[in-house]
Amino acid sequence: MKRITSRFVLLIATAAVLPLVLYGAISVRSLRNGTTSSASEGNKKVAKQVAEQVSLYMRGNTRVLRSIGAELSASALTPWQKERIVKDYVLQFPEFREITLFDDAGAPLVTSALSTSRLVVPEVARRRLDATYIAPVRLDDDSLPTTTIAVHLTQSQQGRGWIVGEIALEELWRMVDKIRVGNEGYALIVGEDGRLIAHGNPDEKRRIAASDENRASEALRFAAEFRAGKDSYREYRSENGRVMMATAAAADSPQWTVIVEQPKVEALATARSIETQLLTAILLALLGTVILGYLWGRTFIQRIFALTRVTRSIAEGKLETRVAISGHDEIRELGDAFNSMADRLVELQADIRKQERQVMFGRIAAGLVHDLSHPIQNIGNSCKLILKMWEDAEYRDTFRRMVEREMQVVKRVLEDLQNIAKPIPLERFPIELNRSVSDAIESMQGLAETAGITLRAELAGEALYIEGDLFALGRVYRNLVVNAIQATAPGGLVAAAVEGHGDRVQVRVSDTGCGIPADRLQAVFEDFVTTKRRGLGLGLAITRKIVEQLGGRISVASEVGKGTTFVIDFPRTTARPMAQAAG
Amino acid sequence: MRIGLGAPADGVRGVGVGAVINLFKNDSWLSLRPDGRPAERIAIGWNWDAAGTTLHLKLRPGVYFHDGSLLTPDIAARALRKTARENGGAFTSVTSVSPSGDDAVDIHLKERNAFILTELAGAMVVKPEDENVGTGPFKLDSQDEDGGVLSAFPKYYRGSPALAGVTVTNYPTQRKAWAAMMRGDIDMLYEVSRDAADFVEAEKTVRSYTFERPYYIPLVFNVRHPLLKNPEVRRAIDQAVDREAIVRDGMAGRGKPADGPISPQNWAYSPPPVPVAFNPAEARLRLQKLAGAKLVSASGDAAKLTFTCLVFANDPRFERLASVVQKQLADVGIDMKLQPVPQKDLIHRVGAGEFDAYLFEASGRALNRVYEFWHYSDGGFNNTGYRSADEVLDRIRGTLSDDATIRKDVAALQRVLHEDPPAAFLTWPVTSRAVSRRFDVAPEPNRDILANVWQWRVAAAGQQAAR
Repeated sequence: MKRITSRFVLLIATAAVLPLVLYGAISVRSLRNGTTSSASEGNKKVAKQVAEQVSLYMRGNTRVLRSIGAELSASALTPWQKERIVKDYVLQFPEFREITLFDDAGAPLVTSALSTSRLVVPEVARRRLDATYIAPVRLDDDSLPTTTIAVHLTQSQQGRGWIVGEIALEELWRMVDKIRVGNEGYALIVGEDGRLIAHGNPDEKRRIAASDENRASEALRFAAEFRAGKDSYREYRSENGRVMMATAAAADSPQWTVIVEQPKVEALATARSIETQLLTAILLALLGTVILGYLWGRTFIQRIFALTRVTRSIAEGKLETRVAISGHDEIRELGDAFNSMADRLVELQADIRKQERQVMFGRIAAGLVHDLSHPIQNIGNSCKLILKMWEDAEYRDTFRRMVEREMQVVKRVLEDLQNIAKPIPLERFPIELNRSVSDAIESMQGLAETAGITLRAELAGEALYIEGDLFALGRVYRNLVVNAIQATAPGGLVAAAVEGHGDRVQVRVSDTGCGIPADRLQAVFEDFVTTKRRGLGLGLAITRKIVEQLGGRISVASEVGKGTTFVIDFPRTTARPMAQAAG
Repeated sequence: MRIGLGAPADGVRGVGVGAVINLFKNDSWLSLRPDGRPAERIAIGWNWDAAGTTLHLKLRPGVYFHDGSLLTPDIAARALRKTARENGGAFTSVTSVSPSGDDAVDIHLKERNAFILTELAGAMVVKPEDENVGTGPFKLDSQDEDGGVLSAFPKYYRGSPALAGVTVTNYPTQRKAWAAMMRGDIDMLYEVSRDAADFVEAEKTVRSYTFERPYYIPLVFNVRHPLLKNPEVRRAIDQAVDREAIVRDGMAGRGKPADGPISPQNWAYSPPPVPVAFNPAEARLRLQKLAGAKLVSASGDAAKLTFTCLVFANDPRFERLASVVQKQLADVGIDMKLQPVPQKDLIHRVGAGEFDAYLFEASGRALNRVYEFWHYSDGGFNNTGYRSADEVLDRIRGTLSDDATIRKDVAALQRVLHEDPPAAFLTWPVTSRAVSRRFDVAPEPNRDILANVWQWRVAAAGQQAAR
């Protein structure tokens, strides 16, 4: 039955789990894809914003230089004033390490440098005569990247000229340092020649100085690929082995690339957290379902168990047992039906008992009538005759003997009834079986002869003793032998054999009579059961009672048409009759 | 350990690479506490005779030179005699040095001079016969103008250093030294440039140690200059200088405004009677009055006071700061021209009195340094012609142990320097050193980590990984 419970729980759990697991798998997948997409899109926006800031930064610096140019061109200024203007701008805008004004031939006119200007007008700018020229990033004297902006002045007081500013990229670093995506996402700026010129991660700034090393980095490869027109999103493994999600955006002027990279673990941290929560929720739901299913299934199955228990109880004969099932469902109806069935069973049993009592009573009455009517009728007839033949002394004597004989019959019938109802009083003494059997057979030779039956005793070769009651044993032999004689057709044989088997001794009474049908064989020892046409049928019942009271067993084997054998078996005793023991 | 410093290599002895190597190679006779008082080092005790002209110096036992010889009173006396001969300052008062018993020397002075003790804190113990043989934790293996190599000295009196050796490399600028550290070429940045300090501090592989180095930056005037000789002009300049703005715009916030040449940490420090205040309006007013009295000669611009300020060339530490000062003075009509000159030339020109003004960095931890810099010295390094503080400085020098008197005289000195300023005292820069986390440094609060260099060691592998 427990397997049913398990199956029941499994069924409920499976019914709950499959949808939940399916839902969870789909949700997790969607969440991951969604978060990756959203994180990369978010980072892409950040990269674009940084790229715009970089462009703005450089445009702002260009505007500053233009402004200086305009200020220097505005009116006639002394060299001291011009120098002051240039120096003030450098102090005001730390983005510039130096600003120098050049004439059209490229000779320095005014510089913010304390000594000679380090700057020159870039050759490319002089050739192209663009309004503004941003030089490619180069390494300065301190081996750090820098660039210069050259603005062509066309309306200055001294004619055409150039104003050139050297950019301190450290200021750009400060701007980039402020860009942070999550806790570990940083922005990088890669120059047009693939050189790293800014890195928002303080610990990665060393790569800016280590130019050879940084060219091998995945971020720079990605920047190069992006510049070549490939996708703006890529995942790669960083030098420290972490998977990075990187997005790229291009600054328009200068042609720098901004990369925003973030460890994938961090980018998906929220999704992972939600995943964990979702899985936890699913597991909890599953656990709850199993527990609830188990509890509910147990409640359900318990009622079936209750029915089973009551069924077993009734099967054991406890017909008064009833099942109490709660609820209002089919199981409750089944329980009610079962109880109704049990009630009906009790009624039927009462009816059967009543009928059995009636049958038994009829049988007893019929048996009594059979067993008593003959002696009573004999006595009655003899009483009628005695009135007529009172004078006949011989008849009176016959009458007396007849009355005594018939009264003995009546008495025996009544004793049998009494013996069935109460224990038979026995007095146990050591009895030698050969002798007791021999005496009994001898006493019934006359009866056997009358019936035309051969009756013989087959005694054991040694004396066999049991603890028995001689009178009661005689009755046992008599019952068995008389039954055998009555069941045996004239010419047949009835034998009583005594055998010893170790510590047991047996008396076998066999006949060559009609035999007992197998279906009635086991009932021959019951009260009021007889194979004879009439009578109470108490003989074998009393026989078994005596044998069992003496500590023995009785069994029967029979074959219809061939004969029947009763075997009584007693424990052997070493005790001897008192007289023998004394002699 | 590889140490990098950024200083223009212009061959001045005792600065740049030489100064850094000295820190590892040598010990001073005495040390200075953060408050400027002398403390024991190679000498473990001292006392004056009754006249205050003989200093009895008890030597630490068991101090060895790098050549394996023991520091004896005889060697100590010879070494001190050589130091006194070759150095100025308080050593000019020394007449003789003699061994005293088994463990001491006596320094005889021609006059009472309290500064001899703090002077000994700046004087290194070197073998008289070979200045490269010191008693410090590391011995010099080789040295040139680009750097030096030192190895651990196992017989160092405080115990054998944990580091096997030190390599010092000089870079032309602090910025270049920083780039070298970023590349991993060096393990320690001797001095972090102000512009790079916030980047270095943010880096997790490096640890920064910031401390207030007791050095100040003054704009020193030549009081023989026809215009600058007028205290009113110098006071006007002093008022025109916005020290907060100098720290903010010229030093990236890494400094503190200065109110004089004495470190606020010095035990005898007292602030000026009137706080130094930025007051450009009053500065202009003073200059206008001077112009009215024709005390100021115009140069191009009728109302312009013009002078030239010498600045260390190729040293970004001073360039920006000088530009800020220049702008502030220009705002009140003073044309301070900046002339960058190599350090060696600057020292020469100042000593020759061929200057109007100059920007410099000077020590303000101990009073002897204040004396040396601001007491008149004909032909010496501080050839500014300034004499106003001589009297009070001489009083301080002659007071051997009376703290109250010294404090009173220091207050008087501050008053003199305020009323007749020999310089505009600008800032006390904050110094940062940076060391790779691969090394365990034993820092002390607000003190130079190099004081404990013999205790530094390579960090355990686990600690390095954790970092």
